[in-house]
Amino acid sequence: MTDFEIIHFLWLVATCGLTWLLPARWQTDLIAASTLCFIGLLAPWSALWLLGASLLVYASYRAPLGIRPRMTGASVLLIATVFLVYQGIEAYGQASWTIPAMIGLSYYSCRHIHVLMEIYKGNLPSMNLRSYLHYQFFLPTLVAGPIHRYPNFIRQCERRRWDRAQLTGGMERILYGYAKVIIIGNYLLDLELGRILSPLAEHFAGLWLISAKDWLYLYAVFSGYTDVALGFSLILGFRIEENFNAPLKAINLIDFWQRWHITLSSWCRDYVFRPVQAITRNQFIAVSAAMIALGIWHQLSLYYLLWGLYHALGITLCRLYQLHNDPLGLRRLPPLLRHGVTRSATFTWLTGGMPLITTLLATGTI
Amino acid sequence: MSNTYTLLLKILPRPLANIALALWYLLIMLAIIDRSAVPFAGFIYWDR
Repeated sequence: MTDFEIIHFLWLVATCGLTWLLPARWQTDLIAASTLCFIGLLAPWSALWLLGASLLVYASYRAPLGIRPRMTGASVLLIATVFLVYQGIEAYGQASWTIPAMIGLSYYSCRHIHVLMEIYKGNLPSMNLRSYLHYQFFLPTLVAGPIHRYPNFIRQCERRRWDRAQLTGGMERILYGYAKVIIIGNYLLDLELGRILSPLAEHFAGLWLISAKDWLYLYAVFSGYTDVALGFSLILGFRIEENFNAPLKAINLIDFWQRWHITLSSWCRDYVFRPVQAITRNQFIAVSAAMIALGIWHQLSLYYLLWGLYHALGITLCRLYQLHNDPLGLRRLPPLLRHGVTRSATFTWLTGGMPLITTLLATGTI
Repeated sequence: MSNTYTLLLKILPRPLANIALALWYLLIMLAIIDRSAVPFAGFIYWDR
């Protein structure tokens, strides 16, 4: 484990312990204060921006009805621009530049935009600054998600209570989460399997195998961190949205993106896909916009732009296949064979992106 | 009650389930501590 991870873990343990020692009315305040101290000490610029953007979002909510839509729009633009500029500097900035650490920027920017879009649509339940700060300054989900939603968080704040079953369930989830990250992800997949596969990197088929290993590694590590986040949330009395739902069982690409990083996929669906589809009336353009948004959320680079387009193409082909009523007759196959074929095809498409884009970029085709 | 404990109670009497659960957790914790010495591979989401 890195020093950062150890500090994060110990800070969370201390926060959980202190929270349940306090009277109920101060508990969520303590969690928010603890989060502010954590991020303020380790990444002060990130803390300042998180606080500033939270105040901006709240000001948009409180703005008079006449100017509210323009103010929410401007706030969305500002928050998205700061995020993208930081991503761009991180991807293309020179090695000599000192870039301040912005812990959790990808996640809290999405949460701000979610709340702003709901304010714009008029769907948000009543909000006050204190509850909004509780929502944004929530330590378990600050650094590695999930991108949980405000209305569910507020419901959880009202319902939460001490529960021994939640405590043991949460502790077990944390243990399994770290086991996934450290034993399966970092050790077995990245170190051991990576060592076996690294000599194959010069060939296209080898790159494909490395890509498959990378997807499995990402799944183990990311779902592990999600387990840790949800486990600590459970100990604190919050049931936060799940981020993964057995993505390796997906029967097609549409199904896969409903199972993989669910909170980000649903964010892209609600705030990119649906608005673009409403404007253009074209599903391919809407899917492309959503998948490009999903790609540049990872990194503002040509690679992730192409990555988004590649997956948009996969989803479109999958949708066309469904619309043409199963032209290959897969539904007539025995269930075991059908599932084997569809799952293999899904995983093959997913893992094919990295070798294809890397080869195209390396040969200068694009 | 944790999921693993619920599962163990279905196949073992309670005292044995308690011991099995304790041993299982201990095994995982030791494996985590042991493998934590492996250099961290750099999870792309942490620094943003």
